[in-house]
Amino acid sequence: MTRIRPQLMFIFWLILGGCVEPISFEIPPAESLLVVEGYIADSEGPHKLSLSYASSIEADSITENPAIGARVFLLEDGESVAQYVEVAPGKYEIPEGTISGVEGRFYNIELQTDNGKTYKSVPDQLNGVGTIEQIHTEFESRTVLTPTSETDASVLKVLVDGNIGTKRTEVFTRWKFQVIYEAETFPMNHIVYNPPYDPLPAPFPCSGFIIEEGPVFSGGLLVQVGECECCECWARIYESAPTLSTGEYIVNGNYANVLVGQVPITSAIFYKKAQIRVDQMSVSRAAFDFFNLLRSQKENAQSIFQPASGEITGNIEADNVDDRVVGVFYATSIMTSVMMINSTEVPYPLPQRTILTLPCAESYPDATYDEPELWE
Amino acid sequence: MRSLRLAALFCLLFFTTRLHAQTILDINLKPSAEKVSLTRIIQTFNTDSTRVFYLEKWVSPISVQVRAEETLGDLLSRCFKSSDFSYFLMDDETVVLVKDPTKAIVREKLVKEALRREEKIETYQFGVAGDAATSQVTVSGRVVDLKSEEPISFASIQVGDESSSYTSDEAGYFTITISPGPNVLTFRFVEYENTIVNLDVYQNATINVSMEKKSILLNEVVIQDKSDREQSKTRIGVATVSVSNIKKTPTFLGEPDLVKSIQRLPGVTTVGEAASGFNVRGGSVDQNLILYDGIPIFNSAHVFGFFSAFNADGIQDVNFYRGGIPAKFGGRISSVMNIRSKDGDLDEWHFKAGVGLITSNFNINGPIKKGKTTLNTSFRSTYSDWLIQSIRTNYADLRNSSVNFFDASTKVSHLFNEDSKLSITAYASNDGFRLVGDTTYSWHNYQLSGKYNRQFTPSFSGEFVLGSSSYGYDMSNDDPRTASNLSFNLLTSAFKSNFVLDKGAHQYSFGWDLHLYHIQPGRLTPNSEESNVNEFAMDKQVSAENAFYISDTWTYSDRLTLEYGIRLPMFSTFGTATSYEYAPDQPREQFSITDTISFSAWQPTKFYAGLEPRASLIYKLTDQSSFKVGYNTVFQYLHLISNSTAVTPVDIWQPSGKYFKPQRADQLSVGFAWDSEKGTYSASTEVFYKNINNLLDFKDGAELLLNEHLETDLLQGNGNAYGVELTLSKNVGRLSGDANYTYSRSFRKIDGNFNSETINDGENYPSNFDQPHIANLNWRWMISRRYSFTGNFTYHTGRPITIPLSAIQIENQSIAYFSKRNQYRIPDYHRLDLAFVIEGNNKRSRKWQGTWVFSVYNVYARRNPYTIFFQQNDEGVLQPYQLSIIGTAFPSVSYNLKIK
Repeated sequence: MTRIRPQLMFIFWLILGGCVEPISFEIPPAESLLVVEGYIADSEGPHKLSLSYASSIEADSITENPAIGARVFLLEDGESVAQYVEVAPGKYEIPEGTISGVEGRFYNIELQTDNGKTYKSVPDQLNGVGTIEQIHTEFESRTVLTPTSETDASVLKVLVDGNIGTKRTEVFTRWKFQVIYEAETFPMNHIVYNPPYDPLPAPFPCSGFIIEEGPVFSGGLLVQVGECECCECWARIYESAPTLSTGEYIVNGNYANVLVGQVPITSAIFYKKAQIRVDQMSVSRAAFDFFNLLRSQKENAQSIFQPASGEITGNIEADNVDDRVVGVFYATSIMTSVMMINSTEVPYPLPQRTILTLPCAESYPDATYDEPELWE
Repeated sequence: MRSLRLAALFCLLFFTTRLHAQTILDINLKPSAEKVSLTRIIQTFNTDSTRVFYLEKWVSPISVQVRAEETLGDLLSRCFKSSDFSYFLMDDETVVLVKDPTKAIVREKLVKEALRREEKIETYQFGVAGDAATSQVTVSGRVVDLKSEEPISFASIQVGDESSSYTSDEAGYFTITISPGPNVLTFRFVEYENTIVNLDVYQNATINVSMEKKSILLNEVVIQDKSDREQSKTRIGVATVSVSNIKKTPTFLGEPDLVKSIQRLPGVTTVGEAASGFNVRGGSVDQNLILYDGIPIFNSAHVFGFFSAFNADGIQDVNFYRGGIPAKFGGRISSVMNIRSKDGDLDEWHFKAGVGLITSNFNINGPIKKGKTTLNTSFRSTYSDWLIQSIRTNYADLRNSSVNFFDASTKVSHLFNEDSKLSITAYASNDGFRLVGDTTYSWHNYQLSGKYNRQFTPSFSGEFVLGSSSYGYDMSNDDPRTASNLSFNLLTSAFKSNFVLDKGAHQYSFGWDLHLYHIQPGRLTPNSEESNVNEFAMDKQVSAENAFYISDTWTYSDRLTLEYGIRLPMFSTFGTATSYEYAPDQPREQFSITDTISFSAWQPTKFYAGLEPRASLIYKLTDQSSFKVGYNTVFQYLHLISNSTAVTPVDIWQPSGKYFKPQRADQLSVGFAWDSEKGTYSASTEVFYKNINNLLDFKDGAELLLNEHLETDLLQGNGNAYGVELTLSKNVGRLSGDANYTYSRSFRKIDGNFNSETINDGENYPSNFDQPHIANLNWRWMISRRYSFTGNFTYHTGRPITIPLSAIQIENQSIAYFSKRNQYRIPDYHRLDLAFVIEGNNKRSRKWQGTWVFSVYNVYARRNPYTIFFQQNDEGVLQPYQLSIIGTAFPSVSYNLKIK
């Protein structure tokens, strides 16, 4: 019902021989904008913080511009209590066990980048959070129009029931959704094409296979010499937009059937099994506004009319007003709940799997070879 | 005998002496109790000692009553005052009556010309020469269509061969002041035959002038930015849109479009190629009051704005006010478009039909009862489905999709007598848009109204309108699991009364308007038993807007006319309703609700009253030039709630209430206009400044549909607009046309108490309609009487837009970082359209007439951006794309047939 605008665009475009073409504007350099993202939770940690610079909107791919060499301090009720350590370019952490957020206290950060510019966040109060009592799923059959055909786009809707731990209604809650699935590729079967056309076996070393000399014109023999270290991985799908509540889903502190995400039904995701992970997070007003703008952008910005998106601000301030910064640092209590789904639980015939021959982590989005927490 | 001669000489010397002291003109006359013939009086002076030379036919029509102590000179002066007669003393004893032939020569010349052109001539005589008691007499009356007796607004009235002229008002009334005696008045109005009034007038008089439409023209609509091309005579900020030859101008897909013609006027623009509505002097589309026979229309477009919702064949004329809005109108702060539907012919039946690429239309009008009751009905519908379904595409859904619309109007008019008339108008406009298996959109305008006109006395008339309209949309989803219907409806009931009292130099207009609005802001209902959609309906909103007004059009002199008035609008909202109280120290959000108040049915919830001074002045600097001033304050109590720049079918109207204060605009316009002596050329300029309070804008991320807390997603602030408009016209000749240029700016400022209630840090920002440079060029070249070549060129600065400046990473998601609101602009818009028109044989005797129009829209295939929208690339980052709705040249052909 809310898809009128994309549909209008679609029909206008087709009917009237209209055309869609990229357009560019003269815009200031993206790299001058510092992006801050992090939170302090009521857990042992590690408490993570990401510092980066924006990248050009006109680039074909996103280039990571980590802000390295920054000095970042965490303040609790105005007192510096910990310093972040840069564990990777632009990735900062307070090591596990250093500090835990305490409900009712205010937290903020002060930071100085390697070029001497200083910033700080507005103090954010850590509020309590309830619990997720149940995660359940609901299958929904869908199709979408593509430029050439109508294709299946069925999903598994993920819903949660639970409570927010208080009967107050003016509680800001966020549900953060993530799917981790076990994926498999076959890097031992990788081949290269010897110009102009001869295909030759070229297994990746991490596959545990090598090529030994074989019969003439065979290209060699494929021989296993070890265990495959890049055949299985865990890939991640994140929420398309944050799920937020100002209390409209909550009755007497309880909620039910809140839709927090959707899992596309593909053979890749349900090849073995997938883990659905939902974090229920208490957030402050400032954090809520920030994520609400992100949600609005994700949901509405593709309108052919004036997009309902605007400037994203957040709660980070530069000491020098000429220094541009965007982002949020907030304090939160988190309650995590996970659910495992096997392929057999999908009420839908899965399409045949595509055989991929690159190393697994290179084939799937945000994939790693480390088994995730709470994997069963 | 000698003694007698001496006696006579003595007497002569005596009288001569006496006459040296008092000439023949100083001789006292004997008062008369009754009127006596001037001839008889003069004859008494034809004695041996005095003599009056004259022609019998000059004075014989004149009778006069001689006053006490009145001399011959006084009497002659009184009788010949302001006439073309005069007298002079040849000597003390002899007076000679003479006649100045100038006025007679002019009259004869004008009448002869009119006879040669076969123009209609009406002859009147009011009083006789001796009646003239003053140097000026007032002639007032009304200009009407000969057949329908509908008033003709802004008709031009020329006195003699003077270059100056008068104009009838919106209701067709006029008042002119002229010298007594023989006069010729020439009435002109676009697409009407000139009507000549051959007038001998010696006292104030009232005449009704009937004008006949030119038979060579089809009933089509043309936009005229002045009455009969005389800009120096019309009030400020008004444009007359009357029936003429819009069908001969280049059009998109051959569809003549009233609204697009409005968009070519100075100070008027649009946000996109096919955007619904229009923007006037920096205002939003909802700030334009569109009246169809007095009842407001809330959506003026078909197919999201591709075509206007009005069939030209059903329209009599349109008056468009963008500055100095008369007190009679209110409720929208930017402009008024007053559409009058057409009456049927009182004498004979006519049939017209038009065939275009995607629509066809017909019109039938004629007498149900000759001379008494008429019918005029028009219908237009589309067969656009074939266009969609014939597109070569692999889109399965497209072949089964549909876009359809129709509009229809019927008007029945009945003349009870010369002084009273009743008209009933029904109007319907409907649109549908569907993608199979998904969602169907439909929206409608329905209207039924009655109008009663009554001339109570020659100087006092009234007009009463009673009607109702329904505007709404439905959005249906056919998916069995989510099958539902979302609807919005706005029902308007209206009663209006308007009175005109003509007191010579003062023409008073006063009346009362009442509008009652019933709004269903949103209702969601499941469509099938399997649907898991929960039924939900928002509270109905009931409100009443009524206004009293009075104005005076004061013709102070030939040069100065002042129209001033006041309007007192009042607006009330009623229950059933639920109102929320918000914590004053927190942003207005659902979480900050502190109390909920319920109102029972018809319990008042909020009341607003306003005071709207209106003024319009025109001062003729010379016979060909004038200086104009206009001022108006207007309140607007209904608001279009939208977070898009263009109107969409799912936007909703929201009445003012506790959290939505009425919008208020104060506008001052100053102008200068000039016409060349023969009216060949004209030029005008207007400067305006408009201040707007309480205008609405949306918060970033606003949700407007089915939102019970709409006040949490909308913001109110102030704005202003200013600009200058220039127009140059060539009005006659084989090549005619006009060019206009507008420089204007439009800004808004929303500075709330909290960051979330502030836009762009509380600083001024350009409105969505801020287009500094707008230029239009329209022309028509008559190759011959039957062939013409027309065209128009349009240019305007691209409208402001908010764009993503960079991509940032938040929680592994790519997010676009947007600029502040409206800090960038889409590319400029320009377009050239051409048309070649072939008219049929236009002899009066011919029973049918046809017109072919071959046109090309967007001749040089400019890809004008309709909008900039954003699509996620593979990385999930929004990237800007330009959507050009019409990216190529569009040829079209249409044929219009008229049968009488």
